Amino acid sequence: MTAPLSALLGDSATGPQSPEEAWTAAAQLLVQDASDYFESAARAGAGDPRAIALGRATCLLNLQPKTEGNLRGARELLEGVISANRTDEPGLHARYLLARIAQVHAFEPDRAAAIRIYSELYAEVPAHPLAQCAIVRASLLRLYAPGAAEAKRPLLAEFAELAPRLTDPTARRELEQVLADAWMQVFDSPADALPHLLEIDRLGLARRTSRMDLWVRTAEMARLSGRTDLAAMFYRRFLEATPRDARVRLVRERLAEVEGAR
Amino acid sequence: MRERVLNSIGIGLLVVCFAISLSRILLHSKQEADPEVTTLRFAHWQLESGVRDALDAMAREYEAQWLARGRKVRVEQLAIPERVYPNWLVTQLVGGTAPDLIQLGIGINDERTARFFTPLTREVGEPNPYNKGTALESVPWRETFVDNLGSSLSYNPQLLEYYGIPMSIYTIRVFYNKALYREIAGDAPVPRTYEEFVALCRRTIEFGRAHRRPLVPIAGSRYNAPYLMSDLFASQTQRAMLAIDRPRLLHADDNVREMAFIDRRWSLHDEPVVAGLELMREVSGFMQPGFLEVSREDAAFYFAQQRALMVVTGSWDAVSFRSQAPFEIGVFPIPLPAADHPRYGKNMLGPFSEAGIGTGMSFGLTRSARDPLLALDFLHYLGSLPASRLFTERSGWLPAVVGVEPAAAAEPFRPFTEGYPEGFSLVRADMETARIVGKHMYLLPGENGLDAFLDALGKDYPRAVLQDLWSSDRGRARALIRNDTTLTALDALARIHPDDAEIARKRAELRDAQFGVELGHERSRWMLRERGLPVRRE
Repeated sequence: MTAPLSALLGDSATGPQSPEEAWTAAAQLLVQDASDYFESAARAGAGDPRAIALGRATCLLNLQPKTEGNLRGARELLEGVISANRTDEPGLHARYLLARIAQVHAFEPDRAAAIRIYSELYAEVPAHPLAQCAIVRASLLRLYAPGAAEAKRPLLAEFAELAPRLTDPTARRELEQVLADAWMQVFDSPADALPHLLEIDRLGLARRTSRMDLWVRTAEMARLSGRTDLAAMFYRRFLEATPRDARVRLVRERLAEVEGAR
Repeated sequence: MRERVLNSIGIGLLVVCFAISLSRILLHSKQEADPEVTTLRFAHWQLESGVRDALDAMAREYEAQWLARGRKVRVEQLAIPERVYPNWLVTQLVGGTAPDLIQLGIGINDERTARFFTPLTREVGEPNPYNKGTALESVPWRETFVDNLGSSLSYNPQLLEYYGIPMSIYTIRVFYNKALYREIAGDAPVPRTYEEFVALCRRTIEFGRAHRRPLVPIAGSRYNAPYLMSDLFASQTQRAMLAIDRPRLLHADDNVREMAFIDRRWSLHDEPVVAGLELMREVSGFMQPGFLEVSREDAAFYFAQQRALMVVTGSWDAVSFRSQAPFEIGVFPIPLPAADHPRYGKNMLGPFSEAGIGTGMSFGLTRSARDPLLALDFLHYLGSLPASRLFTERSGWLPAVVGVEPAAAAEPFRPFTEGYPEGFSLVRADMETARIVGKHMYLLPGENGLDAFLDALGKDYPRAVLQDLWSSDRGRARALIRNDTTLTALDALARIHPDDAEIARKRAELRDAQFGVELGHERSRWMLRERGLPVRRE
């Protein structure tokens, strides 16, 4: 009657004993455990020093309490990784994390520095998925830099040109999300948002709840844009996938409405 | 002499208590030491009568099943009062003495979940062996629950793993004293609309006066009253919710409401908002004076002592009320205004759907379980169709497993799924808007209460909305910081195991979530700046 349990049933009290276990701990928010391993590995001179430095820096970003000293330590470790090679895998990850520190982690964020690092990464290795991920984040920061909404239209045109050049599906989808969201929330323009929502759907979302929301949103944008066939298709897709959602009756009524209008 | 007798009685009582305690400890130790018996322990805070009996019946049934297979298993239930549960839990977890299964919720955060509980993601993707011979025999365990384990007590979106197996779902209803109702309303059916509800409340007041009985229509408290008042308010903002729904999600969202308020796309003086406040004001007049100052227990006493005809609470209270109140209890849904109501109907879409209600009373498997395979087996049993049927029959609570019909006592609580999304609320739960609405609420029932309430609220509300937005942004920033480490770790694991589907799933899901948070964070701060507002507390 019993089923096999996951390998994670082991004793968590002993702490990580290898880089893989340390990364597993970090992925489970057990950052102190992961940090203890990477720090002791660094002291013992065990493993690849650049990989260990990347692990130490990653943990320093989330160790509690958050301190300026930890952030400075993380920056120094990442710069050490980059100084050995700035375009191999550890080097690219270290540069990406440096940009994240400037954008997200620093007590006083430096958006300009983050945009510069992200953009350089993309300029140097445009085909690399991490670099494409970086250029999307640079685009997001540029779009929402201080400035009136109307001044953002040329940026949206620039991003729309960039999007097809992104070969990594996740990065491409994220840029389409930036475009769709801006047309919806900043300009309230369903017709402009719709093609980007369709592209997001083509590329796919991992989370079920995100997909359900995307289908409702796409159907609504299509309805408001007069694309009744498209609206009906997405309303139906939502209803088929979601028998249990407080929006089902409303979506059913919207579907009947657009079908009646055809 | 008298003192000596009293002292002897006291000492005698002490000796008896000590002897009972000692015998219980010795008995327990003997049972624990029996090498032929495997003991499983599970802990929860559901002290409501009926629930413990149901869990006990399930434990005995499970023991009998194992005995029939030739193994002696003993299941021990630990019911811990809610007030001490978090401290008790932390002590047990840190001390390595935690029970095998623990109810998740209070006292548990992400780090404790990761450190002390076993992920069940692989297990919930496979059929539950205890569903063999039922319609759910070949269905993945996750899909045998009414919410597909979508509640945060089952699936942890930060850790991207399933940890909890739920037992029940909850709905909110109006409970009423059937005998008293017959005295007041005769054979009239229970109210189905707000208009009929108000008529019943007025009739109750007249009845109390005529019979010189201290009687109010509704027992209120700071715990119970918001259930009724927030539903009535949200009935009036259903259409307004669609009007401000710029992301076109067709449901209420705190951030959307707050940004729309900042953008002046709705205000406290809009007709639907005022109508919602009018409804709140009217029902507040049907509760006992000072209800906002009293506790949940006080409202329950008021109702049980027949000083109130009704009380509004959740299905979790049903069995306790039924066992404690010396009268028969009836239940009906919170009555909202009818669609053709001349004043309130035009703001509404219709009755609320309860389809989105998540599951609760979820149990997690601790890493310190002495026999983890058996503990997982017991969890499989608890989350099976036959056990869920037994649970609803014995507890009177709603079942969490699909295909299990609620017991007769739970039938009035069955979720209503043919409704519409609720409108927006005036507040974000537990945040500044909730605090200031609560602070001024005492004004609402008074003379010219609506105007006084709106005047007072109007002064504080814009600042409170801004504070809630800041708070939400701080939460987003914290999530971004935390997720950067998790994503980097998952990237490293993906390089070690490039073909591991589970790592790939976690990366994809977290990146989805992370980018959504980042986008909302950047847009929200830009919008505040563009409107000349600070992006954080200055």
